[in-house]
Amino acid sequence: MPQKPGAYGAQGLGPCGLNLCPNGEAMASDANQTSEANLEAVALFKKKAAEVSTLVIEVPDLSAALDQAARIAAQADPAERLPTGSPQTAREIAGSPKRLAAPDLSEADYAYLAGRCQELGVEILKGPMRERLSGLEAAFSLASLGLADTATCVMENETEDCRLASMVCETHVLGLYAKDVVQDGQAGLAFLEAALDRERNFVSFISGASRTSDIERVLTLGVHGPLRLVVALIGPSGD
Amino acid sequence: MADLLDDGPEPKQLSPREYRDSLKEALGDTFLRKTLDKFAVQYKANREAIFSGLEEKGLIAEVAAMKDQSIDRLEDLYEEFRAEASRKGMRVHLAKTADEAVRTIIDIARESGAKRVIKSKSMTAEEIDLNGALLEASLDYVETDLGEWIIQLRGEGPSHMVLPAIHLSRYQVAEEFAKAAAAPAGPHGDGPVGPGDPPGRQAGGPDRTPDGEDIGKLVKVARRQLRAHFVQADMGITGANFAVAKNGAIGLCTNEGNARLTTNLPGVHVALVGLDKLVPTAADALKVLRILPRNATAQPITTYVSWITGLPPSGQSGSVGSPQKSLHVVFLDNGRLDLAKDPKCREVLRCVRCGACANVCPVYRLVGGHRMGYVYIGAIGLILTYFFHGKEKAKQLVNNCVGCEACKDVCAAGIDLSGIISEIRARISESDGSPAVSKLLGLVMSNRPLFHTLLKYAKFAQKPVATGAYVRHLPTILLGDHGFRALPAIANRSFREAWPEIEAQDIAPKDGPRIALMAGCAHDFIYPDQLVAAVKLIRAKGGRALFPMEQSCCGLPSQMMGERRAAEKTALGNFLAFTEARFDYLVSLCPSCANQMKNRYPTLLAGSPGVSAEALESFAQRVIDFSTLLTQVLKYFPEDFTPARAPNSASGPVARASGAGGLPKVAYHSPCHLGRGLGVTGPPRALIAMAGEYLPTEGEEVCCGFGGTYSLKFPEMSSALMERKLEVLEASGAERLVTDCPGCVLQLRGGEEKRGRRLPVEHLSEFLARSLKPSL
Repeated sequence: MPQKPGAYGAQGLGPCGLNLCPNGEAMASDANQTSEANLEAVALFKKKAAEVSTLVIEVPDLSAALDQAARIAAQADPAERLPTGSPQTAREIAGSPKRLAAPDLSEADYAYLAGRCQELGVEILKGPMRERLSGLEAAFSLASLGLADTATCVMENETEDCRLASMVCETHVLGLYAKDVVQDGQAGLAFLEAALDRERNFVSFISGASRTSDIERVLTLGVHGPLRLVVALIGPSGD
Repeated sequence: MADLLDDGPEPKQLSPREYRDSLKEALGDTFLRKTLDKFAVQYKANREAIFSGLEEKGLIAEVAAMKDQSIDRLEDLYEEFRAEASRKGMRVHLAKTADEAVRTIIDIARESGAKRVIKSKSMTAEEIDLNGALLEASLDYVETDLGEWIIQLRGEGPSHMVLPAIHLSRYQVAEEFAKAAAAPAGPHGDGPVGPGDPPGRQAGGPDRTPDGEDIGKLVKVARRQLRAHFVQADMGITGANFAVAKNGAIGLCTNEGNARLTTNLPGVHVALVGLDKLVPTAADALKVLRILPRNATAQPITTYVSWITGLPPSGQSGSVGSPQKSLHVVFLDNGRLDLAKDPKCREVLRCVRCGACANVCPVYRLVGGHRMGYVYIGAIGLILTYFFHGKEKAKQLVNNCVGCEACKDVCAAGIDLSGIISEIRARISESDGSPAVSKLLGLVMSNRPLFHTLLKYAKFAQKPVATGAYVRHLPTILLGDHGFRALPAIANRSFREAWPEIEAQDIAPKDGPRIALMAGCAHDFIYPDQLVAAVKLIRAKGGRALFPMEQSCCGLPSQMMGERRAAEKTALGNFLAFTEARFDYLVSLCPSCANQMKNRYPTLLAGSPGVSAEALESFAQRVIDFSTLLTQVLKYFPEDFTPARAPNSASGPVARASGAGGLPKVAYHSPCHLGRGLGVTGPPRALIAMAGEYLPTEGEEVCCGFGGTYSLKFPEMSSALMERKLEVLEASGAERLVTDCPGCVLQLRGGEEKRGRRLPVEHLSEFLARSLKPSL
C-alpha cells in the first residue's frame, strides 16, 4: 500500500524516496505556515495553474494520485516514437502497450502502482530511462514544493531516471501535497537555499507544459518536454 | 574596449548610406512590419496585465540595487563561485576575451572526445561567435531552441534576444524544415530517423513536412528531429541566467525544456556565462526571476527554471575513465570588468537580457532586430555592440535611436539606456572627430548670438518659398527624403523680438509665482504663438511670466549629435541666465527642453566652475512641465474653461459628429520626453478633458518619429513612424489632435498638411488659451 499523504515530508525523505532532503524536518515550511495561509496558497495555486494550461486534479491521498497516473497513461494517445537510436522495430511498437514511468517511487508505492497498471494494461517502468527516451505516454513524479503565485512545482534531488522521465514523457503527472504549497518564491526561498547548499543537486521549477512561441509567436505546447502537465494535488485543498 | 572579433570573417561595415538603404529595405518587408506591429500591441497589453497588482517600479529598483552591488564586486563574486563550485567538482574557467572563451570550449570538447554538440539558446555564445568556431573545429553542433534551430537552418543570426526567429513566417519555416528533412546527415540536416529507429507511430513514416499552415505540426517536426540530436550528443552547451556565487550554482530559464535535456543527456555540460550574471545568493537570483519572464514575454515565470550545483548523478560519463558527468562553467569577461569600472556606463551590466527594450522600441517595430544590433538586439544591443564588439560596428547603429526613452521606461533593471546611447555617441565623436555637420551644429548652437543671427537671416532667406505657416515652394529635389511632411516657416517675429511688448502688457504684475519661460528654439522662432498662449494662461491665474533674454537652445540637439562640449556650454549659459532671473518655476512648453534641463543638466553641469551642487539641485527641482504647472501650481479647474467649439476646419474625411454635449472629440499624443522623460501622464489629459471631450486612442505614447535631429538623419524612419500614428488618429473619429511639444506639433501638423487630411493639430497651450473663460 502506498504511504499516507505527507509521509515523505514528515519523515524527511525526498520525494523520490531518497533521504536527500535538504531540510530534515520538513520539505515545505509547513511548520511556519498556518493552515489558513496554506488554504489561501492552494486556492491561488489552482487559479494560476489554469492560466498556464496545467490541469489540477484533487485527490485525497497518494494512492488516489497513483490511480490517476495509471488511468492517464491508459487513456493517453499513443506517444510518438521519436527517433532515438533505440533498437525497437515497428512491429514491437505497434503491438506495445502504453507506458508509464515512475522511477523513484518507494518499493511499496511502486508495487501498488504496478498493480493498477496491470489492471489497465499499462506497462510500468522504473528505468533506465536512457534506453527509453521516447514513446513514453506518461511519467509520475512527486514535487517537493508548490509556489502558488506562479503555479510552480519544485522538483529536486531526483535520480537521473526521475529527471529524464519528467522531460521525455508526453504527459507528466506531478504529485504535490497540498500542505507543501506556499505563497510564492519568497516563501520557498529557504527551501531553494538549502537545496543549493547541497554537494550536488538539480532543482527544477516546473510551471506548465513545455511550450514555444517561436513560430509567428503562436503559443504551442509540447516542444521538447511534455505536451501536458497534470498536477495531482494531494490532501485537503480548502474546497 | 578591444574589438575582439575583428580577426574573423566579418560582414562589411556599412556606410551611412548603405545602412539607410538596409533600413529602407526592412521598411518594405510587409510581413515583418505586420508581425512586429502585432507583437508591439500585444506585448504592451500583456505586460500591463502581468504586472497588475505588483509594485513594478519597486521590483525594478530592487534588481537595480542588487545588480549595482554585484557590479562593485564582480571579481570577488567570481572567486566565491569558483571556490564553491570547484569544491563540488565543477570545473570553472575565466576567459578574458571572446577568443579565449572559444578556445577553452573547443579544448574541453577535444579533451572529452566530444564530436556532436547540442546547444541551448545563449546570447553569450553568439557574442563570441562560438558557432563559427565549432564548425572550424569540425564539431557538429545543433541549436535546440526552436527559434535558434530555425535560424541555424537559414544561416542567420537572431533578430530578437528572446524570439530569435520572429522575422520569419510559418511558410518560411516550413520550407527550411522540408530542406532539413531531405538533407543528408550533417549538422544542418540530420535525417529524421536514426539507425534502427522505427517510423513515428502516428506519422507512419519519416517526416513529411507540413505545408506550414499548421504551426503545431511544424513544432512536432522540430520535436522529432531534435530529439535524435539530444540522444546522440556528447556535449551540451548552455548559457545561464544566474550564477549564484554563494552556492556555486547556475540557474537557467527556458520554456521549451531544451535546456533541461541539454544539461542532462550529454556527458559533458559547458555553461558559458557572462561575468555580469554573477549574483551573491539564491535570494538575489529570485529577485531577477520575478521580473525577467514578466518583462520578456509577459509570463509570470518561464515554464522551466533549472538550478544546477555540483555534479548531479548521471548515467553518462564526461570523459574516458571517469564514471561521472563533467560540468564546466566558462565565465566570459570580454570587457565586462572594465565596464564595471566605467562610472557613466557601468549600469549596462545590470541587464538581465529580457529583450523588453526591443519590444517597446518604435524603431525596432519598424525594421526588426537585424538592423538594431550587431549580436545583441534593441537599445541594449546598440550599447553592447559598442562595448563588446567595438565602435566601428556600433557607429551607425547608435545613431538609429529616436531618443524616445521607451526602453528606459520598460527596462527590468532600470538602466538609463537612452542616456547611455547619448554618452556612446559623444565618445565616438570625441575619439573619431565629429562629422562636419554635427560639429557645425554644435558650434552654432553653443554660440547664442551667432545662432540667433543665423535664424534671423533664415527668416529673410525663406521669403521666396514661404507661404503663411509653411515652407511651400521648395523644389522637391531640395527636400529629398524630407518631403514627407510640410516644413514650418520661421515666424516673422520671434518670441524674443515680441517679448518687450508682451512684457509691457502686464501692467499690474501680480504677486503670484515668478515663472520663467524657457522658449527653446522651436517656440522662440517657429511657434511663438504657442508661447504667447501660455503667457495668457499664466497671467490669468496671477502668475508672473519672465523671459531671460540670454537663454538659448537647451542643448539636447548637440547632445543627440554627440557634441558633448557644445551641450555643456549651452547648459551653462542657460543655467546662469535663468538663475539670474530669480524664478520660482522654470517652465518649458517643450518637454524635451524641460527633460534636458531637469534630468540631464545635473549630470552635464556637475563640477562646472561656479556651479554648486546645491544650486544645481535647486535649479533642477524648479524645472516644471507646462501641464503640471497649470494643474498643480496655477490650479486650473474645469470651470475656468468654456469648452472649445468644434473646429471649423474639421471638414473632409475626418469630420465627425462632435461628442456628447457638442464638445469636440480631442485626441492626445503624449510626447516621449513628457510621458516617459518627465513621467507626466495625467495632467495633460485632465486639461484636455476640461476644455473638450478627451478621446483616448491606441498608442498615444508611441513616438511620432520627430526625435529632433533623428528625423534629419533617418527621414524614412521618421516618416514611417509618423504615418502609422496619423493613420490611427484619422481612423479614431477625433476632430482635433492636441499634444504638448512643438517638435511633435511640427511633425504631426506637417504630416497632416502633406496628407491633406486636415485633422487640426495644436499645442495644448493654444487649445486651452482659446477655451479660457472670458472672465479670466
